[in-house]
Amino acid sequence: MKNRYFVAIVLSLVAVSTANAQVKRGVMTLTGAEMH
Amino acid sequence: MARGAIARLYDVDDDTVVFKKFNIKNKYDHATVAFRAKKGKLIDLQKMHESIWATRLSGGTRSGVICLEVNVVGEVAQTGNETILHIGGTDQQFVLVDDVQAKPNPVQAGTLKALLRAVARGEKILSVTGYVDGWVGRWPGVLSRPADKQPRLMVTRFLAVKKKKEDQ
Repeated sequence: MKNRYFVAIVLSLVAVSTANAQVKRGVMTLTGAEMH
Repeated sequence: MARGAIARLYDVDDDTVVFKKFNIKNKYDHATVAFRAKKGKLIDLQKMHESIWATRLSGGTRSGVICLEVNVVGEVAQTGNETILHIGGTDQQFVLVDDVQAKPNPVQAGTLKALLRAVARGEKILSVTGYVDGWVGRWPGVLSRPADKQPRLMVTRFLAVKKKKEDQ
């Protein structure tokens, strides 16, 4: 039973993660003393 | 800070995160943080926004973001007056535009027209590079508004993607 809940939670997290993902790569340009 | 917040994202390959500082001036300098998704993954810009917000950046430092350039792959479709790029396998979309505020000064607009010509020729799956609107301003004010769910993307480069071929 516990395993079933665990699998359901993992599948939900994977689904949410994939549904909102967008970007393959990027470059953020920053300025100022706190940039890193 | 921003580099660490980006590297901590699950879908970011932290081995590819590169911080490069440009020693143009002594104090308030410019730098870039380059990042790439893990193989087979994509990065969520809303999570990136939340991750940087969670670093609790203080104000009054004149630090901030100048622009965010991203590469996305998806199918382009015309919806009314808008050109929409749908990210494959997700419900995420970008509105492709010719200009945004969040860009470095030398960038010229005009690539969107060439993209639309390519789409008219039958190229539908495109790898598009451009600047995401809204990612410009001082910390922490620039983060006070949530990231757009349907961000506007100023197209600067694009490439037709053949079926089942990853753009790398």
